[in-house]
Amino acid sequence: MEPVVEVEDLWKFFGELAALRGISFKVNVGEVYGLIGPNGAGKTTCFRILATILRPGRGCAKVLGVDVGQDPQRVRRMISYLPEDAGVYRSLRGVDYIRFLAGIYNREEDEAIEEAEEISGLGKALYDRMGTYSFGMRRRILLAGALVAHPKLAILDEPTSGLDVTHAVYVRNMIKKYSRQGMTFLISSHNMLEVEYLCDRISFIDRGEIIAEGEPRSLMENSGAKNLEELFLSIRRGGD
Amino acid sequence: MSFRALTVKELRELLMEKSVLIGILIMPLIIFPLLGMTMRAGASATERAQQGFEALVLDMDGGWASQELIQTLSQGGVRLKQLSSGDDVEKTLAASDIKFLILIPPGFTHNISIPSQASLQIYYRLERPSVFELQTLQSFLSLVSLSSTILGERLAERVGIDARFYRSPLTLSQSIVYQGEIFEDGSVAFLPIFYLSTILPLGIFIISITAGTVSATSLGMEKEAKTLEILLTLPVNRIKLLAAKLLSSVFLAILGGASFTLGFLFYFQGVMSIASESSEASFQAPSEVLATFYNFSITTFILLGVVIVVSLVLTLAIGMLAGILAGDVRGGQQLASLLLALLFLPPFILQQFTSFSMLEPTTQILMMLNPVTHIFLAFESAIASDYFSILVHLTVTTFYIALLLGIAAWIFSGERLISLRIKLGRGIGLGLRPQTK
Repeated sequence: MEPVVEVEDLWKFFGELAALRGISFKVNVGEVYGLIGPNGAGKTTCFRILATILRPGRGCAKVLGVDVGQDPQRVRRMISYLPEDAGVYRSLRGVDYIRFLAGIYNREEDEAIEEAEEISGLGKALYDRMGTYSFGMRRRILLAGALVAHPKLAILDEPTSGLDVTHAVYVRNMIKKYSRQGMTFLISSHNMLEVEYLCDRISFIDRGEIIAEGEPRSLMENSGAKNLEELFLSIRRGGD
Repeated sequence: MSFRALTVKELRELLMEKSVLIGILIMPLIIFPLLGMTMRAGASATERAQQGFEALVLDMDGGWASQELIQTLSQGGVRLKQLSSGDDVEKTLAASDIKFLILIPPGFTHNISIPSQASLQIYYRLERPSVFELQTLQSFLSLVSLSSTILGERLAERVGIDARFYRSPLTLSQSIVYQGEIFEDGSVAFLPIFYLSTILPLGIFIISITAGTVSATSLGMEKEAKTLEILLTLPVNRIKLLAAKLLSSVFLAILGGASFTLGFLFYFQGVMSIASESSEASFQAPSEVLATFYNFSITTFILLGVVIVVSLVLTLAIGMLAGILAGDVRGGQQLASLLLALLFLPPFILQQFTSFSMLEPTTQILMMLNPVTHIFLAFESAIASDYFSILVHLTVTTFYIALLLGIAAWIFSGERLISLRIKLGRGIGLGLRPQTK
């Protein structure tokens, strides 16, 4: 079966700085794949390339066989992207935002709103202006927006960042639910417990290079680490 | 469907943004009438102050000519208070509420009798230097000058000369020949077109600055609110994204233009009422100006409308480019205002004070490189019903619009939009901001 994401020897330069140094990985249908690494490792750059915002430097990045550099418009029809520091349209109500996305993705409005209510758990607050939302509420409406599009691939950069425990658990369950329905996720997170719970497979990325890849449990077993944090630190030390 | 959704979202966002609503729709409706009312109130106060001047008179001559002058001034409406002794002028004025002092020196009547020009000294106590004080002094000097003329006519009558005839032996009448027709009393007949030539470009200039700021705001808001990245990953052609922003900005600019026009009409009527109160000339409100002008056919109105719309789209394109280049709303607005002022001011000033055809060839070429020059030339051609020139200038402007939108779309379609930022602060800087996480 064709992988949803196929990244092969991908490089990205900003002037002299190489943000990505020939990374390669594949994500299969229905998988939750985690790209894990410290700040500045290149996670967001990789996500932005797959989301068609940045162009690949060298190498290849494909979504369902479509090269993101060559046919970004086709790729956009298959993906949705939630950036880590994404904001909301403060003047619009949550429901207006969902209506807007329903219009873009040719979805029936009422159906999309109902689904967004369930994903976000915002209830009547969906009819309030997004400018009045708390950080957590904003994050949840944006996640709802990313999922009501019913993408083949959802790229979520730190989806639970800034959420309290209750809402973080709620969001994780939503991601699991959509994943079981066949949606593929590419996520990043600094919360290793979350990564362990959510991700089927992960890649550790550091300074633009993938330094380890595999299923979280087998990676820990192979290295003898008690948890992912310990594993990541030991791999980094080895790299240094 | 997606384009409609985008346009509705853009409109909702712009119309719900308080700064846009207040700055573009509400402020012109408040500021202009307020400005007109204030100017009217100020002018009325000045006029009241200038009615019934009071002056001290120190007559050191005491002859028949000085008495004749005092009588003429009194008949002219100046309330005079005669001083008996020749104290220090400065102290006398400082001790009095009256601000003017007329000093008739000894020998005044003698000089008039010779006949030779007699001198008259006027003192004015200035309290606070202001335009009002300057106007008051000028008005008083005009009144004294008129009294001097009347005195001269009376003196001439004494020796049997009709001074009025010698002062103005000619009767002038003027006609203007325009587009093969002769207009008697040309200045009055052409008053509307003169108004229009001044007011409409000013209106275009202000509306254009407003429109450019709106479109810059529209993109700046996306960057500032950090919604741009999600927008760029939507399955919508980037040109459609830009077009939706452009369309919603046009709608808002038209609303802003209507608000501006309405506010400006109130202002103009306020100012015109001052003019009509203080002058015998018949001034007209802009609506009457448009309605009464003989040659304004429906075609001319339509052409003027086309020129305004093209001007609007040009400005929106400039604003959009500024919004793309800048990092946030403020930066976008600053850059848009700067670019628009730089492009609009030279042709606007030239259009007001000279003709483009009178310029040096090099200057003409330089001016023609500015797209806004073609807007003003198209405007002039529309008033003159010169259809070929309108076509040429609008075609050139359309080319510039396509070029600007092409550049905007080029930046918008690639990753430059994420990495490029122009910041206006202490100097203008252009930088690339790689963001790696």
